[in-house]
Amino acid sequence: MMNISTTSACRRCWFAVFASIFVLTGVVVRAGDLKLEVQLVWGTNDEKSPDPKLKPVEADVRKKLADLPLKWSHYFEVNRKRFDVAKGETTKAALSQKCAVEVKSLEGEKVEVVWFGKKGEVVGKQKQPLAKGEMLVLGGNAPNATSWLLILKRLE
Amino acid sequence: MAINEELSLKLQAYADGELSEREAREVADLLAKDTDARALVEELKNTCSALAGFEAEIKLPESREFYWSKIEREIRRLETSRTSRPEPSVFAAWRRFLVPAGALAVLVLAGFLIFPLLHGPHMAESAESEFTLPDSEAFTYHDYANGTTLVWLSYPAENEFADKDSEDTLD
Amino acid sequence: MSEIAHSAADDEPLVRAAQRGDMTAFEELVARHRDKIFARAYSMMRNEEDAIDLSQEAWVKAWQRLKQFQRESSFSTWMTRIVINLCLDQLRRQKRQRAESIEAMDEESGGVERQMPVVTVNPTERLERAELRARIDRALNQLSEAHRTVLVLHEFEQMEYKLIAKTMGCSIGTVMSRLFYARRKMAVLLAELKKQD
Repeated sequence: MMNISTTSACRRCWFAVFASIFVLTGVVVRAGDLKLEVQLVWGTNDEKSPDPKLKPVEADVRKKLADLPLKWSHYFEVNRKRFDVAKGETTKAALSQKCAVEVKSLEGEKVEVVWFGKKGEVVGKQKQPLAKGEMLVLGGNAPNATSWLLILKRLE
Repeated sequence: MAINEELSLKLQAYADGELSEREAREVADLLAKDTDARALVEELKNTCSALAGFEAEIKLPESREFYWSKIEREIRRLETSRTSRPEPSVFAAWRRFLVPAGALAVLVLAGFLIFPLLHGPHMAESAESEFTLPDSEAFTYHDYANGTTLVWLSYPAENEFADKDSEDTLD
Repeated sequence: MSEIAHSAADDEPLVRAAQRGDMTAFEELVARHRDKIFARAYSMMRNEEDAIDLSQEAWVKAWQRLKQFQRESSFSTWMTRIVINLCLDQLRRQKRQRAESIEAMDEESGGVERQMPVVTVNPTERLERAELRARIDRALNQLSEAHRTVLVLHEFEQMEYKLIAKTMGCSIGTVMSRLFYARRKMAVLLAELKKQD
């Protein structure tokens, strides 16, 4: 329960104004390569993975996956890669023998993501803005009521 | 009988007693003939009864005295500040208006100067998807609070961890 | 002090006294209904600290508005509505604004649970009460805020669709879709939690 005096509110108001201008200016000045991280994740309701090398995903990823309409309760990281994509350029990353993703950096915060299946065929394409800290999750069914997920996160 | 979304919601409304008498009779007739519809209504009712009484088990983890002391303190503080506040001067009244108005004006000006330089429409307004596998469907879900987009493909399971395709899918 | 269920008639003398400024009477009302108000806040916020803060804020607001309590409902119901509105305000402050069309898209396309077969076995059969409560707790944590809120308002607050729509500021159709999705997801989660055990 809070109580803010009028004088303090005025000071905070002006601080917020100048902070906003500062932040907006910072946003305009920022430019350069996209820094991305992509994880290949296996979703299951089993508490343990049959492959002991697979570790559970990090807590922040687990929390974000829990807020999505996905029914699995456990997620294990199969592979992870970090890479940079220069403005206007395309970078491809293979997460496994059967799974690869290609990212093109478009204008502003927009990216075009193409993902490839086990025979190298294009499975799908997604074009959207992806701001810093945001995640794009591509997923599908896997056998035995499990799932695969490609989690693309923008780091910078 | 395949239950589409409209029928699902009608069955739910029936289970919740939200239908008119005529509609309720129609649904009752359907339930007498359709096992799938009956199973769905049964599931909805099971969920309802599972949740009944759930909150009754939840107890406040603070003692009566401690919990009340904070409430009483806040009530007294608000009453004291109301009675002890001095009559606002005309200047004070204008200042209360001018400060936020001035702040707003500066922000709007900053917006006009800076926002045209920014790119990138919001993810919801400009997301485009394309899927090339035959017989595949997809849906997209945006979670704005977490800045997460989910694109889910509904096609027969490809197995990342074994060689053969499985017939055991969720769809 | 253990909580005893108090009827609206039991509360009436205390409410009248509190409306006349008797804080001791108001403190007794707090003692009687504090668990229920906290439980409602906790169901919505899923965070003990937030639930305590918001429930206390609700009691302070109730004291300030006591004279406006016209007995159109019981005192207990009036209090739960105050705490629900405070929780909704807090949830809105915590989230970025979401366009109604995106919510509609979620319901139209449905989550993957929409494609799940109906759960035909009652997942709560033969469960001890404490075990069932723990499972529901875990399942509620896995719902999104919007879906949990509509579930709480319907199942715990016993609100009709129309009132839920008004409280949440959305259409009745959205309420029905969200409620259906929340119940189906809850059923699937409870069934899976049973399988895991």
